[in-house]
Amino acid sequence: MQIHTEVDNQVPSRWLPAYNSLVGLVGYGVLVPLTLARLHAGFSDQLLWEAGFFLGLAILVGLHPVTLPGGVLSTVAFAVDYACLLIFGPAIAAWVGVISFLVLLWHRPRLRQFFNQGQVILSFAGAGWVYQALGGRFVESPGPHPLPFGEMGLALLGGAVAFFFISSLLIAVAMGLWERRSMWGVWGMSFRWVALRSLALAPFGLLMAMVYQTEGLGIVAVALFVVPLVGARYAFQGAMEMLQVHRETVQALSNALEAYDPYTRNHSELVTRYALKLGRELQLSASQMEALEWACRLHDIGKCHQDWEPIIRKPGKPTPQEWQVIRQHPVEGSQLAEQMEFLPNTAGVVARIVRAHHERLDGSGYPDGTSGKNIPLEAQILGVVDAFEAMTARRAYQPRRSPQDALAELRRDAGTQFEPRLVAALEALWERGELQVPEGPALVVRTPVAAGAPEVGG
Amino acid sequence: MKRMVYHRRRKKLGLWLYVGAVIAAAAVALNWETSHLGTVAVGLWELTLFVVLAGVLEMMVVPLADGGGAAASFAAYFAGLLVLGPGTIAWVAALVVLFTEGVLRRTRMLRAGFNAAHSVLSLVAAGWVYHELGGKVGQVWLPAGLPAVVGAALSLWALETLWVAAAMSLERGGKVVRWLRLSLAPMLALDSALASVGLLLALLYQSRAALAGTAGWQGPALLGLITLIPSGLLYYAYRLQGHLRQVYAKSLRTLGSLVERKVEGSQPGHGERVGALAAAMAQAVELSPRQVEQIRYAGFLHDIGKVGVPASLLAKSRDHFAKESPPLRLHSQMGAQILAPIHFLMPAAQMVRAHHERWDGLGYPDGLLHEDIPLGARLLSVANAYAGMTETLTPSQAVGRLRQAAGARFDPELVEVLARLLAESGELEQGPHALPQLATGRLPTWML
Repeated sequence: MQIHTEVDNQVPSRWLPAYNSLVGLVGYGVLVPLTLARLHAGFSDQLLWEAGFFLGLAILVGLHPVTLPGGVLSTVAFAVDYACLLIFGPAIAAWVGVISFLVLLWHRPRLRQFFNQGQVILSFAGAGWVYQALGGRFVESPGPHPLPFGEMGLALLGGAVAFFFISSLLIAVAMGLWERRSMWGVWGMSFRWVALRSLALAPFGLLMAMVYQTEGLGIVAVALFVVPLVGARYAFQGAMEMLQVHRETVQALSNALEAYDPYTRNHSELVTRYALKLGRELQLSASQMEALEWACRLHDIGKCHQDWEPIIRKPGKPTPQEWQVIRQHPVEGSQLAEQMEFLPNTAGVVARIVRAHHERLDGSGYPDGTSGKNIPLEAQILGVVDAFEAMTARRAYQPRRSPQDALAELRRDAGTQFEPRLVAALEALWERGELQVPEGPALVVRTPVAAGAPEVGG
Repeated sequence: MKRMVYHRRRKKLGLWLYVGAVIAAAAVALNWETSHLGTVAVGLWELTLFVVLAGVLEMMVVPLADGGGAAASFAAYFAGLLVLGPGTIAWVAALVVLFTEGVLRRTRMLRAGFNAAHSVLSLVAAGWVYHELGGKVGQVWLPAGLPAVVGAALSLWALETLWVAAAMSLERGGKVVRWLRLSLAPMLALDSALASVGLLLALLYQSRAALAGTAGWQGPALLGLITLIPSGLLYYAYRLQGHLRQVYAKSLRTLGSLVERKVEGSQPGHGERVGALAAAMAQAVELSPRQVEQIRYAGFLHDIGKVGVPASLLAKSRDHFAKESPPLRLHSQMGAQILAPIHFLMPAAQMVRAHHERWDGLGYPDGLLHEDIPLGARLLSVANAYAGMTETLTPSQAVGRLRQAAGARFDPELVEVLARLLAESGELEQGPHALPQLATGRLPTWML
């Protein structure tokens, strides 16, 4: 695991450099006594070659890492790291980690490299300590061989868990400082669902260690593990790219579908932006954020209907029949969203959010009249930012309002229409200047349609 | 091992003869190998290990870029080849494949028989290669034995791909070389990973006593676990990729259908029909799976540009040969512009832009002539016209109209491709709306 942050236009906390240096310094402070102790125990040339071999493996497996939602790079390198720890112990494993990071992250800022090195040293040292404290032994340490790994289950589990937690927490703090968020929020978002996948790679590492210590096999057989690892990695990368393409496609097409009306143009884009900020503020989990994002992009596709255009083009209040059509759009939207499956775990969730985004806290909303806690939280978030965006943008039936006015209006409706907690969180975001509501009478958007289309009335 | 997964309703005599010959050859080979059984002693637990492992891995069918699938069982068979010998593992393969395909998956017996038979033939041949290159069964030592091991793995890979490519060619048409070209590279990527797992299993098998300490069931059980973890990881990753591709195709279909909801006078399901038909035609002219995929997507989205055209201008005659108003003519350009930010859909965007170009150069937006029009766009144009006309006309009437316009509006060759496709599927005798059924039946499932 390495830190990799590409967060939009945010100023990192001024404590970040101090934290990065601290982790780096403490890491190297731990590495020196570890190394000295290992040197004191002595080692052979062959061991050095074998450690070099593992270094090569770590670099090979760490190349072209896969980016996970939330910005953490995950590689299948955990298997190699863990095998390295079990075979050589923390000192050599930490050196392998440091040198492989030096090679892999050469083009990154120096201070971040320093942090990553400190982070990997501390993870190996901590995991090694836990592993030994629970009765584990390393392959390349004195004592009877081969090691009975079957009898060290607790130590093996403890070591893997310790490695993962130390490394992910150190990174979560850094990301929290970078994005000015709580580290627990970052950890919950970025690491909770990585935890299981990473720990599932631990048996892989254990197998490598077992093969390594088996007489007549050794290092050549360990190398055979790498081919399927690399194959799986490329397939994972393909999957992640497909997910990215999917997101881009839905974004581009939903923007295009909105672009028929210059007033709602870019509505979903802004709603998505606000809702994700609000979701972060409320510390939703990664899968909730994922579902929220899809729901925001798609919340108005139910409006994509030939009866809809005359209604929105008409100034003044809609007639009762027109209201019927309007009240139907969340239902149609959710039916369409159901036909579009996303990740396996978000499929039905997105449709449910889209359906409920015009429900109100007191049950006076549409289409189902659900109230209170029965409305999914994500749908409530979407409802609040949808209203906020609608008020701060210019519409055919009402003039544009300032964000302050809109927030005041939302506050008036808090408790009846909206959950007060959400309105308060949105206000907090605005006060901190993180909402960035576009100014001006109409948005100048560079959608392709806007550039190529003949001017549409209104 | 490479598996034939899809089948078509109408069998051909050539295919029957080929499958029969492969099964007969496999029976002969098995019979011959049986006389050499027993040269390597195998314990009961060890044999159980290979049977169970092969069975589990046989159920892990990995979707491949060529539209077919391959089971992860390559690892178990390759390991068995090295340590048990070709005779034993060929028997294991034959029984396991017949059981998993015929009983668990309920494939047609003939298909299961073919898959079992080509596995047997490949294994026996690869065993021969291993022997000729100096390899000894049950004694794999690296690095000295590496040439024999690599030779056996390569021949196994090449042979299994060849058998299936020949069957695909007989079943779906096209040269064997084409099917080979499609599947060799994806199979190599998968098989090299699985061969490594297999070699690892073979090495561990030889030193299983050292590994588990005792001779009972623990050794083989541990070996099974060691093999399952990497091959399971591989399977999961490939599956995820294939799944997301499917999901994407489904989303595009829905997004494309939004135009039909919004635009007055459009036919529901038109985009889907055009996509399916154009993709079937693209397969018939032997384009690569990637191109077929893009053509299908372009079919789903070909009218997406109409969302940017005001509703009042969109109301138009249903007759596809009617003159279209100038603002409507913008829709192909606009569609391409909408798709422009999506890099992945670049080929599809070009097709969408050119789907109203005419063969005689009188189309729009660019007035391209003959082969200057992208092939995908020419396909799309024929499919679009046919799908539009069959709303009111019977398929044979529609084909008649297409033939009249061939050489003017349409690429004459492609009109004939469509006519042949429709004749083969029996569509011409049926009423309208039978189209998607035809097209999806022919296409690999992971694409839709």
